[in-house]
Amino acid sequence: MTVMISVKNLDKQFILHTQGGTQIPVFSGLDMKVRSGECVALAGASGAGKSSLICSLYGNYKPQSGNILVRHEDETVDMATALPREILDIRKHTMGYVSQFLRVVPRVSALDVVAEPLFNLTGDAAKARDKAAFLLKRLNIPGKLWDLPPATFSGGEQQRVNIARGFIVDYPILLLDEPTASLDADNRTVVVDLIREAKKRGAAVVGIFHDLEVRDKVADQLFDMGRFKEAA
Amino acid sequence: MAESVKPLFSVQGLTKYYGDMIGCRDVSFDLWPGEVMGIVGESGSGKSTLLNCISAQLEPSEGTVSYESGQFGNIDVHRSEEPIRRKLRRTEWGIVHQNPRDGLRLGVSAGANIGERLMSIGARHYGNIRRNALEWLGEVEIDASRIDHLPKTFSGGMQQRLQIACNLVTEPRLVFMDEPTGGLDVSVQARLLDLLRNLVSRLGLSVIIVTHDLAVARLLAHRLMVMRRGEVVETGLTDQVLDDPQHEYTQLLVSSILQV
Repeated sequence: MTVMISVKNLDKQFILHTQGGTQIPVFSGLDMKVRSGECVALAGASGAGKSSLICSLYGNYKPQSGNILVRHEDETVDMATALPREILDIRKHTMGYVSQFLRVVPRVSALDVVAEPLFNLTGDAAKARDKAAFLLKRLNIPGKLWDLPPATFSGGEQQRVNIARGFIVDYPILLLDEPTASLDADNRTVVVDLIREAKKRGAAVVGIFHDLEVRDKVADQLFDMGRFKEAA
Repeated sequence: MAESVKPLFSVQGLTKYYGDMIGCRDVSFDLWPGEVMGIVGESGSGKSTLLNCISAQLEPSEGTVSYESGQFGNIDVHRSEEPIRRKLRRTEWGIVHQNPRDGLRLGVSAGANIGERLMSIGARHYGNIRRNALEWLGEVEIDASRIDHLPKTFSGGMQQRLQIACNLVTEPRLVFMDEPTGGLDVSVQARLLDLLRNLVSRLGLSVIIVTHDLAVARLLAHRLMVMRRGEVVETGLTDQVLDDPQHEYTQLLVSSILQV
């Protein structure tokens, strides 16, 4: 299968200038490959750099050195050096990300929060809303909440809105940071199904799953972060 | 990505001195069509000086600003004739001031404020101008019944929305905004931000927005330029600059935000 993400010799550390220049190494010399249709689960203790790796893959964190080669519309782009507008184009077409927490925007309804990435891609508001409604329903968000901004939703509801938003576009690459953390068993099952469907249509998935049952159901490969932590 | 697209706006080595004082120094960047760039930094960091220079409201000491105009082709903004610059400011460019009173005429009606910009580029048909004005009042969520009222009877938030309507009525391609939500209370600010976000994405506007409010920057800007003492200290994708700031000053700015 096609290699969708190829990470080479990646180094990440934080330098806290406001704390007297304290250096916090995260990982060093990290290599990783993710192919289409495959799910790689990041493993390692809390603080091992799992979320930092996901953020680096998404262009949200800036690594010190190394490459993050991503397959984007038949080209290879290095996320570590790409221009902002290139990264935004990759996020629009190629790479989806479900973070642990939903970033709420005042006055925007749950339905529109979910529909937005598909609308931005296609410009078809009606179809984007239809699919948003389908996903919200699948994730058991009651219909009476759809027109409300998610700021007042419970943690679990916000997370499901976030998941719906991450899955509304059929991205070739999906990054998932603990997508099932505050969900009940029924909704965990829905998320497992969504991930399996994404893999089936060829998505390359990188995820952090603290729930081992979920992890065993979706992951093809465990990626141990510990050895890169020690190197850093 | 299609590399055939050219930058809409390009700034090279822009410097502005006020006597011996530095307003801004050696600033360079390209802005691409549809891109929203935020300029952030504390008061006195040179943000507004930079904005005034690049929008041709102020003459820079050094450097060039070039713009890919729809009517005039690629032009060197500060070396072109004043009538061309004036035409640009009325047609392809919009300038939204922090204080709506700097962008509006408070003594003429809301409708006339919008109509004036249309008339300055040759619109003469009263019915068309009024229809256009009504349409834009609707876009910025001002009730049609207020069209004949003077803006001085409007609240601050309404005045700001009117100023935005006045700028967008000629369908500009590039809009400069200086602290457009400054001085508004938070609920009014949220409404204005929502409006701006939607208009910018629907109209595909290119925007350069100066703000000291990092939450505003996160909501509106695709990428950021961080300024301190007149110089650019960091640039990058908005969420990267805010979530993983590299420069000492950006780290200080981000860590100074109060959590609610």
